[in-house]
Amino acid sequence: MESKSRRTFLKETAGAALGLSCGGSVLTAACTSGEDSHGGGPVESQWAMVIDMEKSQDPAVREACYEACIQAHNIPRIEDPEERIRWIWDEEYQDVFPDQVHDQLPDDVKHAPVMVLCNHCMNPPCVRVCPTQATWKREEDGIVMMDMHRCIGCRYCMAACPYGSRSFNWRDPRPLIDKDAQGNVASDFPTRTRGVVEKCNFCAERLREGLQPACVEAANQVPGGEGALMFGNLADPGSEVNQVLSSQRTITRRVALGTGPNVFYIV
Amino acid sequence: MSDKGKIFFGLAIFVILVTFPFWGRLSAGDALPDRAELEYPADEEACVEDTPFMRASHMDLLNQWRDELVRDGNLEEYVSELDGRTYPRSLTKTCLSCHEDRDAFCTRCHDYADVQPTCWECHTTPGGGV
Repeated sequence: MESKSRRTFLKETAGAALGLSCGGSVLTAACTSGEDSHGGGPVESQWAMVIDMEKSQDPAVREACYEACIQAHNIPRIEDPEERIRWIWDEEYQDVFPDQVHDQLPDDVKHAPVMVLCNHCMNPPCVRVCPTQATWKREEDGIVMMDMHRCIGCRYCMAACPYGSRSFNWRDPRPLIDKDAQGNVASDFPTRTRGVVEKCNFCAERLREGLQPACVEAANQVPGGEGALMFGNLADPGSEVNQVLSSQRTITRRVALGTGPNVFYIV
Repeated sequence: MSDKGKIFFGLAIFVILVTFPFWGRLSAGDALPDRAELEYPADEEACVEDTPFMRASHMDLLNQWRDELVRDGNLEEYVSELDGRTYPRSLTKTCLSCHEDRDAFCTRCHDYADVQPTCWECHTTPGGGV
C-alpha cells in the first residue's frame, strides 16, 4: 500500500514537471515569436514626413493634397462620418496635440486645422494586435504596410491606433469612387473591398518608382505650398527631412505613448 | 425472406441514382464541352513562364509576386526561368498589359473551370478599368 502510493506520487510529480516544462517552453516560444514578428523591430531605413503647420494653413494647399491622395488611391467619397475612408485629412490642433493644449491658448490656435495621416510609427500598436499580420512594419523602408488579401476585418488595429489613422470599409467602395466618362477609376491602384481596413501607405507604390508621395507632390505645385510637406529617408543624413529636423523645432503626436511617429510637425 | 424483392428493388434504385451522372451524360449523347476558346496576345511568343506551368500555377506565381514585392519590398523585376526576360511583379502592369481583353482570356477559362477568383473585386485593368 505504502509503496503503491509512493509510486503514484512519483508518477504524478514527474507528470507535473513534464507538463510545466513543456508549458513553459511553449509560452516562451510564443512570446519570442511574438517579439520577432510584431511591433517595432529594427528597420534598415525609415521614410518620414515633415509637415509645416504654418504653410499648410492655406486651405488650397491642404485641399490639393487630399485630392491628389483620393485620385492616386481610388478612395471612395463617403459623406457619412461614420463610414468615410480617410488617408490624409484635417483635424483641429486641440485634437491632434491634446497634450499641448492649455487654458491660455487662443481659440484660433486650438481650432487651427492640422493635416493628419498614418504616422508609420517606429513601434506601431496596430501591428502588434493584427492577428493575421495583414499589417506589418516593413524592414526595408519602415513603412507600416497593409496586405488586403490577408485582412479579415476584425478592426483590432483600428482600436489599437491612438491616432485614428485607419478606416474600415463598411460597404463596397467601388460605386462611390470617382469615374471618368468611360467608367474608369483614376488610377491603377487596387480598389478595396467590403470588410477590410485601410490607411495611408506613404505611397509605397510611387516610392517604388522613384516618385514622391502624391500629397507631397501636390503641395509643392500649389503657389505658396512649396515645402508645406517634406518627405525623405531618416537613414540618409543628407535628406531634406533630416536637415529640417536638425535645424527647426518639430513635434510629433502624443510622444508619451512611445509609438515613435515618423510624421513630424514644424511648430 | 419475403422482403428479398423489396430490398433488391431499393438497391437497384440506389445504384441508378448514384450512377446517374455517368449514364445520364452518355445517354444524352453529349460529348465533353469543348475547351474554352482563349484569345492569346498576338504580338507575344511566350508568357512569363511556359504554358503548362502558367496554366497550372499562375495563381501561385501571382501570390509569390505579391509577397516578394509588397511584403519583402523586393524591387527587382522577376526573372523568367524560361528565357531570362524580366517582368515587373504586377498583375495589372505585366499580365493585363499583354492579355488586354480580360474577358476573352481570364474569365473564359475561369468560367470553363468553374472557379470564381476574387481578383477583380479590387484589381483594375490598365487605365483604371473596373
